[in-house]
Amino acid sequence: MKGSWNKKINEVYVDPLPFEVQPLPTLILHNPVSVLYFLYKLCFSPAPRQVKIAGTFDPNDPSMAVRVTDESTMLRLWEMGFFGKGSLSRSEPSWYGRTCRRLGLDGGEMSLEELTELRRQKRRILKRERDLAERQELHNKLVAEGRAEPVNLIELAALAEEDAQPPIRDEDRELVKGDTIIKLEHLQLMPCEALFLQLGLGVLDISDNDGVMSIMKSVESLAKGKLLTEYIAYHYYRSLGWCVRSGVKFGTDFILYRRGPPFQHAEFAVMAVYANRHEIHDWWWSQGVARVVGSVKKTLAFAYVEGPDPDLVDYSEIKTISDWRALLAQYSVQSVIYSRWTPNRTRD
Amino acid sequence: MIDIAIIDGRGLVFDVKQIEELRSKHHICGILTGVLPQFPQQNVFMGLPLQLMPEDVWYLVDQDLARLVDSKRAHEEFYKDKEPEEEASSGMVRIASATKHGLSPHSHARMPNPEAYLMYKYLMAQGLYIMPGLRFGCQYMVYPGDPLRYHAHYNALGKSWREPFPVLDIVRSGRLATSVKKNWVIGAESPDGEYRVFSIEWAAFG
Repeated sequence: MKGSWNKKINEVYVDPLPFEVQPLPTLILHNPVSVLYFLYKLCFSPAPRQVKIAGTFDPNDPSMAVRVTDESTMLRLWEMGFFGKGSLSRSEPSWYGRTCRRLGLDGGEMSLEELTELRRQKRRILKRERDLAERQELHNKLVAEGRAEPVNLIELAALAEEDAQPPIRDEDRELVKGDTIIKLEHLQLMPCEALFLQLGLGVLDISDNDGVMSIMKSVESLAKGKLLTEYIAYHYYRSLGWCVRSGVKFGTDFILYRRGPPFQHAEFAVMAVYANRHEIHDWWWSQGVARVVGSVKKTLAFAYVEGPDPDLVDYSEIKTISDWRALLAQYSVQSVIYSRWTPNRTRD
Repeated sequence: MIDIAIIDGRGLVFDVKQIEELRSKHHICGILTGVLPQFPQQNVFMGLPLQLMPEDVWYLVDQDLARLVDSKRAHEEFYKDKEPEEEASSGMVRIASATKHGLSPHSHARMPNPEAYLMYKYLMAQGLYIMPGLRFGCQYMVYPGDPLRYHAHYNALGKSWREPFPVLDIVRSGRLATSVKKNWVIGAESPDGEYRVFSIEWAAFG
């Protein structure tokens, strides 16, 4: 099971970024055929193909997310670099498949959310059974002392269980159109993800109400102030090959995966901090961050972004991609690992 | 009257009787910070003096339960008129002798954060016990009774009414508190002067 799962995810998530790349064949120097084949491939393989993506941005949406609605693009963004989050899912846009399965239609394989739910359900059942067994034992003791009537609690609970099977919900009728289900979900890109796809990789076109947004406009709306600090940290870790995703569920700015969520747990949680300003946080604040991150077995890193103050940058001056690059070139990032150390627990 | 010695801005209590009174009468526990002279790195079984939070110090003075003592001056004046022999026999210096070296204003004591102090006063008025939350990554730990008898029920944070703060803080603090079976409580004084608190619990769904 584990082996086939690994094989499957290795096949699905081949590309680390939204580019289609033809790998070169293995070169065996003492084999002329291999050398010829290699040279042929080197000269005639197609250049890495960008996967063009269209997103929309609503300046009035407080979530600041760039939306991607096309279903195949949503899937591509997820499979090629784990960008974005399904608006109705935990991360991978899996709402459609899940709903189909829940309503008894064929929806393909189980999503990660469902596997989690299944695991939690099993644990709940286990806990309930253990609890029941304990109560039954206590009850048996009372019966033995002649203080209670003999009752089989486990059978009673099983009877109650049978009545409580949840039917299909009323709202579900509104989802069905003909014999298919309406696709409600879209993919949300964080501002830094959208900027990275647009200006870093050049694969995303963002449009708002007035058509495709210029570089200046998207920088102004997606990279102002604190967002620039976040973007620089995001760009930095993406450049180093990490898969960077939002760390909101752990109360941090980002979490870093070695390859991506299906492969292993995130190793690091990152807080992006602008270093040249004295951001005042109480000591208990950093203790809190460290505790939450520590309790999920990750390492906490503070990414100190150094360079011109993001609040003072003139964003209207950034008109071309080279202006943007020149701005980024003025910044550097220092990562500092922070861990909670308790002297009286660490002493031998 | 409780004598709080102010040394380097910190409020310290050196008298066991007064510490007992603080704890049993005023719901203030403080933290013992003293070490044995031979073991300056000691970090368990601490002894006198008891260190109070800045909020504790201000609260006690505001309620007229304590007075602040300029420890250095009291010490110097205590020794000024004494002969060396007398000094040796007098044993430990009692800060209580500071009656006449009282420090009237709060000036030398460290200031608590004003928003936090409002929360502190609100919780004190409910008869709760408050301890600093550094160990748990929150502003205050709030106990329903003596911390030796109860676990904390809340992690508390005081804000001002219109103060913006990152949503990440809600996620983190809620998660933190729930993972140790507590509630995260955030409060502020509303414009009509009423103190309002909200408790937030982390519900893992999905």
